Amino acid sequence: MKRGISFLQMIVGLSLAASMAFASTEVNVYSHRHYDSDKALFKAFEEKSGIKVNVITAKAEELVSKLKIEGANSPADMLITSDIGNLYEAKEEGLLQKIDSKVLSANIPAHLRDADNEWFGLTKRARIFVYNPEKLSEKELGSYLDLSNPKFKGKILTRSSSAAYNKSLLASIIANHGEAKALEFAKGLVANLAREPKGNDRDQIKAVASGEGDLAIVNTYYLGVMLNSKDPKDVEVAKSVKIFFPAQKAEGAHINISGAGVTKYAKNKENAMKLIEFLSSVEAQTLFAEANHEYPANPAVKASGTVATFGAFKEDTLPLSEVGKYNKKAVEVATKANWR
Amino acid sequence: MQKLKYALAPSLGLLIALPIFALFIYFIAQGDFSVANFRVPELLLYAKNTLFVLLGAAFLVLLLGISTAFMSARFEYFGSPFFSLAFVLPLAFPAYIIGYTYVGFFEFHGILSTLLGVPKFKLDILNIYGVIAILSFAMFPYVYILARVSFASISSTVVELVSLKQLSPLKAFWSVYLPLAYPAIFAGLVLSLMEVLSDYGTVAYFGVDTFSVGIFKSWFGYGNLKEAINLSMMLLVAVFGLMFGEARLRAKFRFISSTHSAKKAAKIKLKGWRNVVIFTLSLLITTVTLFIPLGVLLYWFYLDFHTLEWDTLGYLYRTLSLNGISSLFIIALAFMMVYASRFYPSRWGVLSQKLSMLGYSIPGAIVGIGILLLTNFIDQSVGKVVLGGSFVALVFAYLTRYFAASIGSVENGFSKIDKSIDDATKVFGTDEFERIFRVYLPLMRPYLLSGFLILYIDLAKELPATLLLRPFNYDTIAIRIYELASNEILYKSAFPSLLLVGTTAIAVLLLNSKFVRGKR
Repeated sequence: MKRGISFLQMIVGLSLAASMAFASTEVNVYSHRHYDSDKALFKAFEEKSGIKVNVITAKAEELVSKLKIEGANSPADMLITSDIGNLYEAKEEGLLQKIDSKVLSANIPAHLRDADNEWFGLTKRARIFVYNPEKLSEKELGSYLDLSNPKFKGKILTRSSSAAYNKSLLASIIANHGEAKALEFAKGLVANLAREPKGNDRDQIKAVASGEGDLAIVNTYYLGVMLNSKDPKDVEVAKSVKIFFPAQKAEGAHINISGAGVTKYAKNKENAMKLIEFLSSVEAQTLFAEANHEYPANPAVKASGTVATFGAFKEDTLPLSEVGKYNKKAVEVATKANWR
Repeated sequence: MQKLKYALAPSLGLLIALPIFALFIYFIAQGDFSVANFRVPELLLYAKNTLFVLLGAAFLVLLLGISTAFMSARFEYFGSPFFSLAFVLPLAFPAYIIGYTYVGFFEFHGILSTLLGVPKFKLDILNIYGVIAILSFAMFPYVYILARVSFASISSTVVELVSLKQLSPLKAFWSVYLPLAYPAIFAGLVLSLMEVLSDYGTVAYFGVDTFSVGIFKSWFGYGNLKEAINLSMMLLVAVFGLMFGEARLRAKFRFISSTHSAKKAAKIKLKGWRNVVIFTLSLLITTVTLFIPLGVLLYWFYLDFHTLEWDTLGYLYRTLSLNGISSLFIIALAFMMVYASRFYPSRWGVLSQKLSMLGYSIPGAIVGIGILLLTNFIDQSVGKVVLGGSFVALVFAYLTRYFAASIGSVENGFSKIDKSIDDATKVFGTDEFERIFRVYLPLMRPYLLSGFLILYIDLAKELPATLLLRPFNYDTIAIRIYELASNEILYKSAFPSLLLVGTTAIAVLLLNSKFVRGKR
């Protein structure tokens, strides 16, 4: 009998200890990044730190709404998005908190992180042009604003203005050149479209290759995906188009980031911070660059793999919080210009 | 006690509609009904496109659904056993997957251009007609499944009358056979159209601005969830109106056909050119709705073959267990609801049954938000997190979203049970639970099973609510497909898609089998 009780006590004690240990050795992540490379990185982090990473992936807007509704009850410790707009929105809504990390300040350049240290960029992708070299020559291309020039009438392809990356591009144009110029640009762009915006980035690249239009605005990431596709036709199409980095004589090519922040009501703040620091480390950034066709945010790591073959370019170093600030304005401008 | 039983159906209906009410309360409590970000022309455009897609899909769904149902129920022809099965299978595909496969088929350097050897050939299907076609291919089996049962149960007396009156086959079809199947056709059409209304994935990809695109433009574009909910509520009011309209229309066309006494009419054996025509037509429909999407997936699967990820099977396991349990739970509630409305009817019961079906017509993500609002309210009242992020929240969302899909089959089953059986069991004075378990559940078995399978198929394809509400690390196969497709790695999504289609196909085959259909 006595043994029985002590056995019971042991079980209770053990499970208590286990649950306490469990509570302090996990981190709950809401992420919009649904790449296999991220899964590999989380695993690497788990092995290194002994901290279990729990993930829910969904669209960033949904995750932000979810955080907002859940409030203090939210189980999430950390939010990862794949664009600046939603990260900025999360901060504005008071869903993130400030973290002081020397590691992050050292690893991530200032224009890629929040001035108040509430969010940090982890990877970059550039919004660039792909064009059909049989129809256009490099000399005819210049900045984003040039796309409103009537000489491109019926030649331009892009997806809907509500796609996060187009929204951010337009926001950066507002930040760099003012709202009036941005509206002029959007109106000119719409007048020059080869077809109504539809499909995904891959469909835009295909439409350039097929001659439906001559130039498309796409992300480097998707071109990387196509170039590495197992479908030989994808590779053939991606190789038949050429890449152009816009605005090299002006502000530079527009950059968007994937980034992360610690949530306001995080129960495992320390762990979340450790995970973000790990993701900014040379080890993790190398994997981002190699496996997922993204540019590392950490300047100590060079671009590699497919994106390295695109060559070096001048990037727009406008602080991304500026882009975030004008995101809603960008939707207004796009609507005014009838960019669907 | 007796009074409590009368409250069962209304309270179940209210429970199921609770997330919708949460949205409604949110809608009223915020006191801001504006849709200020939208100008009137934009709203009119959404309304116009939505209406056009609905009408187009209704036409095509009816055309495909009725013709396949009639051929399969009335004729024996070359390959007819195969076709009667093949006509159900498109239901196993999520609509957006059919969309992706068709784009891959017709695009520049696509599969068709390779097959034809004309590299420049392409057909742009990213438009409103493309949307109508894709959604109709995915949804027509709802009409097929329900209408076929009706056509098949036409009694030999009716057929004899037709031949006595010397009606031409065409006239007989329009004036006799078709009206007999109206209720079933309506029921199938309503299911299809509600799914069309709630679709977001396909219309967004195809660049067609329907109402649900507007809802997500508010939410994702302007970051204005309130406005998205306002728009959803507008949509709901319209659907509620339509549902009452449909009920009145259906009442007009209700025919009483006794299926007990009369012998069922035998199928007609087709010979000669008739055989050829009907076979060709069937083959054409099957090619377009099944062979092409399946073929494209198989081709992609072949491209990906050496880099297959076997942990995809883990996603499959999670899908199977989650869906099995959820479907069982939902069908049990549907049984309770219909049973209670039959034996303890009330006006409130009728109304709340309509309410319980509303979730089927609004985007799953909005239903998900309703659940979040509700569970968070409960969690806050209790003072700790009990529902948030749990399976209960997710299953609740499925219940609200898909209750409408299951209740039809259960209602249909109960309507076939003669009232005399009710009286007889009551006379014998057996205990109510005993009556349920020994009389009604056995009689209802085939209908409950088919309701269960329809639920299973719907849940396996479900994405938005699962995306928003699932617990940590619980990724289903639909989630995996979404991840790969949004990374634009389409060929890689073939393996999980085929697994999904494979398991739903098993459900579809079961649905079709004697085991489920019993001796209907």
